[in-house]
Amino acid sequence: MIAVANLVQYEQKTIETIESAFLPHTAVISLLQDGVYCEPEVSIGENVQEGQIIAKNLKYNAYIHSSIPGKILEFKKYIMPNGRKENAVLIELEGEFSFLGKKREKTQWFNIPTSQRIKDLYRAGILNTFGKTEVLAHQIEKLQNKRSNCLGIRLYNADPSIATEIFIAQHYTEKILEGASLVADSINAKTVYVLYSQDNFIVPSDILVKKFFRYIDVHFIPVKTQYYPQGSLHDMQTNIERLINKEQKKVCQKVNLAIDASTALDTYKALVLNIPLVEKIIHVSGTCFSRDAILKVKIGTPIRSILDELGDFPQKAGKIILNGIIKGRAIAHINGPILGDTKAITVLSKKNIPDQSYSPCMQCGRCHQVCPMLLQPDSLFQHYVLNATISQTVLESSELCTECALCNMVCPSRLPLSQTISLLKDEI
Amino acid sequence: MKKTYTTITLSPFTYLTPSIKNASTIILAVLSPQLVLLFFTKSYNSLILIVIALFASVFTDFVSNIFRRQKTLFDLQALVQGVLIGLMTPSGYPLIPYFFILISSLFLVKYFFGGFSYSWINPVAFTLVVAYMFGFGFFNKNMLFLDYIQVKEPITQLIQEGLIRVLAFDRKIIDFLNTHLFSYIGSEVQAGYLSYMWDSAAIIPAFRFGILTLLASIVLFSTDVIRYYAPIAFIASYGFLVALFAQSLQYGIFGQGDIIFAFFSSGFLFTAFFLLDWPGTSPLNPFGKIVFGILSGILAFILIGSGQSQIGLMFTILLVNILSPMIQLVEESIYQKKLKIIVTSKK
Repeated sequence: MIAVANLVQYEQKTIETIESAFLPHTAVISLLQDGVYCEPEVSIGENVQEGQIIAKNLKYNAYIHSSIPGKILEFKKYIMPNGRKENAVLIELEGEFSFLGKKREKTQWFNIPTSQRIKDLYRAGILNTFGKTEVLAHQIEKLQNKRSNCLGIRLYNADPSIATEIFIAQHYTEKILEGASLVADSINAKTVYVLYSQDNFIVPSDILVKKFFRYIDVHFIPVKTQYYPQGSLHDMQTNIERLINKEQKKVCQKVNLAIDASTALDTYKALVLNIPLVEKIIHVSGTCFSRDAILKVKIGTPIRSILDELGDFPQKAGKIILNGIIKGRAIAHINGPILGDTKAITVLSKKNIPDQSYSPCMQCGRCHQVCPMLLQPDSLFQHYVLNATISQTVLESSELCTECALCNMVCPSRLPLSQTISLLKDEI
Repeated sequence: MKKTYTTITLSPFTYLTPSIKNASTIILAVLSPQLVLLFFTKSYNSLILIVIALFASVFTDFVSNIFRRQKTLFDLQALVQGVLIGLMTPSGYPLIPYFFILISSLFLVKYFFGGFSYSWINPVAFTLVVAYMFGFGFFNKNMLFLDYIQVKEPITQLIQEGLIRVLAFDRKIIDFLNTHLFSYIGSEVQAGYLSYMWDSAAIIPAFRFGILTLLASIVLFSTDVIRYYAPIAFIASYGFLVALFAQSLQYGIFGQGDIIFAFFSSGFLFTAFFLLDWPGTSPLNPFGKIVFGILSGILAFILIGSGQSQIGLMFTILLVNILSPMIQLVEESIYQKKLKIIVTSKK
């Protein structure tokens, strides 16, 4: 394991309060959900309400909503943060908000059957952002045949440069517990493991936990988040086994479904407050700002307007990264919108951008040494890219990869090892 | 702020090790004080040889890159390679033959053994061995110093014969250390060591400025440009053998070998830090690297004793380069067994 201080080499400023980001004049809503193109259900010139369904995911029966009230301007191919041109709908802000600034009545969800809850989650378009973004309702639906399941909840970010999950865990503890209990109940979970950052989270009282998890066994597991990696499903299981098996001498269950704090919060909003996925909580940080911020941002808000909100850049921006400096992605277009899986924007100044120029593998063996799963990332890379011969065992070992990207981080040749193993995994 | 970006790079955007480009820059930076001192000590011949080696290394890389249709003209690694070859060349080597020997050996390494990191032979060691074959007389000039290594207290002998000039700071520091440190353990160090470590006046520049090489190693280790397994195992095993057996071979006295003198007399530390763990020539994992280092130390002691060779360490490197694939084979078979158990258990 590597100390986070060695990975995040700039100061991470403390954030006490959440702010609301400026409302976008024009929201750009992507019509792609979980890799599937969604069919529009509105037409140009039509007026839409905040939270109104604007497109349907035909594969999952899930929906995409308008994040602001307004008029449909056009459907067009738009450059998304990942550099790809994707179908999007442009909505011009106009009219009154349905949810923003309004008090919502709580739904008595315990009377609602699971099948209806799954339908509601599909309808609200809730995404599970624990690992690769997936439609939460679909994941829950897949577990319906199993009698007893186990839910894992991660209350910190897999990428330690982001503070979103920790902030949500600290400030919305009760809502998260309620949201998580809904997911647990929907998958018929007998056990729930809540993994939290031991330095940044206070375990709630038993009374509060029992209020939501009446018949479910809940274990709170402290994690040393000052070390990396801790965020994958494998890391989650390892931490659970360490505490439950070794320290408490009990048999732990295998986690069937893992969610993070923001997914639990979105679930709470969808099932308890009837608010679909229209906004995200985002951590804005980096070496270019004089302050960091946690913002409530409407989906479809251009990244530029969020950055403008934080004022002038004291240092010239070199790279804008979405979802963390370890696992994130550098954006191609500053006007690209915030998506349903966006958790953070990091802006690095030019002098903070590391040298990323590729060279051939120098066979230093650092990737072998650092890999927590004992893989040979360089051999897998050579196999995928240069057709180098490797044994079947080494090839199969790629499936163990947790995509922590430590191999990338120690590679002096700057080879995309983790990304290549991910492609190889998909092929296998 | 720019609206669009022409280059999109993949994550991560933070690294734990310097890139090859940055590592090469760091190596060149830590070698530059030695070049400056060569200038101030009027070792112009050595500097000219270094320039020739640099040019030969860059030229071969440039030609190779053109043939391979690479975007870059040459890599910084070629500069490092050139400086290292130049620093390991004796100052009296004739310039024109030297240039042609280097060009032909470096081409041979590139095309016969493979390019940077793909060659299982250390290109610096190979080139120097070829240069030695064609002009061993230039390497064996001024061997006087080396004769003294066989005596029991080489530094004393060298000072008495006026071959080492004890510098003023040497006496001051040694006196201070003797009074405040060594006196407590009932020992005393003679003046002269520091002067020898500062500049041994050897004909090969890399053998001269031992203190600078030591300081350079601190930078290389702390910036993670080099990994410590192989160099430390090399230094430890060689030092252990010198301490135990150096004097025993001649006088039958065990445990009296002069380690410091051995380390600073034959470019040993320079080889350990800059040449031994050359990319592609050493095993990949810590265990293999340690075995590689220990083997190198043993071979070095067999070939150069306690420093009686100007080229012995280059032969040592070539020999361990030949042994390295075998170490890697053992390493790989152990790994495969371990991995099979893990993969099967996960299934």
